[in-house]
Amino acid sequence: MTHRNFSSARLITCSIITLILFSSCRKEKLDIQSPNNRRCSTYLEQFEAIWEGLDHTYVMWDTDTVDWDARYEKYRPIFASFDANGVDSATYVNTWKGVINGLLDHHMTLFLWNPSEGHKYLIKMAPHLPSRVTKYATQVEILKRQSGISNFIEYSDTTGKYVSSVFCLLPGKSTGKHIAYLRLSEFNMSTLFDKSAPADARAPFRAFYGDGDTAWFTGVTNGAVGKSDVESIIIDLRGNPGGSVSEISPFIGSLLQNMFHWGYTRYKQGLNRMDYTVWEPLEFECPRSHLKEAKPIVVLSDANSVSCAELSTYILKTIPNGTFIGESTYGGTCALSPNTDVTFNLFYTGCFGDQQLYEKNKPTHPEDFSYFMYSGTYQVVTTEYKSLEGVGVTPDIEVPYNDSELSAGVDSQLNRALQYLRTGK
Amino acid sequence: MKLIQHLSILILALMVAIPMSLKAQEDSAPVNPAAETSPRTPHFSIGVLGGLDRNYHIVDMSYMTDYSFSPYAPGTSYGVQLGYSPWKWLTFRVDGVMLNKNYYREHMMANGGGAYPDTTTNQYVNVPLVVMLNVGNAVRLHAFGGVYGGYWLSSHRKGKTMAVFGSPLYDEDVDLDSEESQIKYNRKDGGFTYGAGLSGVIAKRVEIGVEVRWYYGIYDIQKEYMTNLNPRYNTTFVMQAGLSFWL
Repeated sequence: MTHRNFSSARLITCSIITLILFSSCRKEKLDIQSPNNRRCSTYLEQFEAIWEGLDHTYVMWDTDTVDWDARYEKYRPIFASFDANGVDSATYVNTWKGVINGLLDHHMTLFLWNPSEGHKYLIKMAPHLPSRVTKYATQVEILKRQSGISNFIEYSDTTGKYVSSVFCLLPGKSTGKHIAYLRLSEFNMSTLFDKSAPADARAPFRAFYGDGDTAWFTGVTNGAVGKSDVESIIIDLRGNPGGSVSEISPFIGSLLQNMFHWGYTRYKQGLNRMDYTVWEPLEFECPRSHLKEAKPIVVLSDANSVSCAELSTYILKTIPNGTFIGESTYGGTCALSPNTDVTFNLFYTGCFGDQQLYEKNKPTHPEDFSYFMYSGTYQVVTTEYKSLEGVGVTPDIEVPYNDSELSAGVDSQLNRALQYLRTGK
Repeated sequence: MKLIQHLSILILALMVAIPMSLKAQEDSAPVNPAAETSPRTPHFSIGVLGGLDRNYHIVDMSYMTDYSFSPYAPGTSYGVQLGYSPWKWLTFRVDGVMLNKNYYREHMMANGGGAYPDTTTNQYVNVPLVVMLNVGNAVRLHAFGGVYGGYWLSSHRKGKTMAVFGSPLYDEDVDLDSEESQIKYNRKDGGFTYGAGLSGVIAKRVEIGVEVRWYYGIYDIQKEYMTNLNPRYNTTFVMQAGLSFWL
């Protein structure tokens, strides 16, 4: 009995110790703050807010190769030293460049406000911004000469409010046949349907797609693209910086014959880097009045074709009757909205920070180390789950931008497209 | 977590009360070996068990206050049990069980952004090893505590997401062997298990029983792949019945 009592006592003791201890076996809760409305009073707080904010919201963690934890270890003491010793503006900017250097998101732009005494200034950093100056106006002039003035319709916006576009008919493969051409300056077609838009702003669109609902895009009605004398199509997205992703559907869908599955998307859903939603198929149905006959389509894009322009290029390249001619696109294929009311404040992904700093270049609280991180909301991948971020869409037929040829009045990319559509080669 | 604390106190009380009653019990109720309505010792036992479970997915969403997690019940728990009793009042028991650790998550977006539910069903195998203190003869009370190890076998998600172009609904298996899952998920499971039960002899060397049990996971379901990893744990409550044979 002595032995049994000893065993019982030991068991009870062990059990008590175990039960007391096991509640502390789990990790402690983290002290987490929202990066969207966080107020910072030091360089270090600004650094930590942005560093942690990207942990929560950055949609490229699954493919990005930057060691973000190592960046923290490296730069945290540097920002702490700024608080202790002060910093000149050049060092401050270069340090931030180092923090975000190499991050894959090609939409990323960091807005920083430095309120330190004598250094109140706004910094915008877009690490992947293309630097080339491309002669797009010259391309339009060359096109005008090639198409003939009678069927050339251009709306060139000078107010910055509306989309510019160009329509024309170019000679096709055989006599009497045409190639319908449409150029779009950005994916903000909704501006054309604004009541304040000039009457001629929609003219190139109407000529291409046809008349329809005055409130929004109807699809192909009585426009040139649906007529029997138009045998093929050129969509020119060179220099198009993108815009509203929802406009891809009517713009491209009108030219397709069936619902088309062209990729997948997902967004962040949680505080950890790899917390994502499921992959959602990207597919759209054609508008009721879509193009009934599949006509050869060439899409022209270049290194300044970004975001929606790239996604449209990818779709047109992928359909059976589509060909991409030009040069590899920019590589900013995430979809995003900078309005945190409809992104971060709803589902905690993409852009975060002081919205006023982004919209008005002035912080809500000028005394704060304010910030705004402009980055992708949705990640977009191909049907093979391949990310095009930082890679861009590669052309079927590569024709690099040639500045000297353009100056001499030759648009080699357009010429290659015409050759392809006229000869099939 | 208050429920866990209350249950812990209950088990502690049982663990104290049961041994204290052992001596009086043996003095007053000697076993009748011929009837075998009380286990002879030492002996082994083998059996099966099964029941329902309810999993609590423990995650702190911090400022993301419009996310809520709750149990998605019932899951199931079933398996085999193997016991060894050196003395009538003490049993060492090891089980091999398949059980669900499911949960339901809802994201109720602010400003009329809509509700986005997600039901995640997970299949685990757990191997609990417990020390069980027994009291009684033909009908016995048990209190037990111990540790368990396990492995996350499969996962399935069903729910609704915000649609950009396609369908907002999804219903799909999670590939736990994918490259991404291997970075993200910790499939090893383990922790403490404790509970109490009641059993009775229904035939010669045949005993049936019921028990309630908690699995308190101490392994984060995610790997430590980032510095500020927000942890996620499972705590699973099981109600099950068993049938065992004394060998």
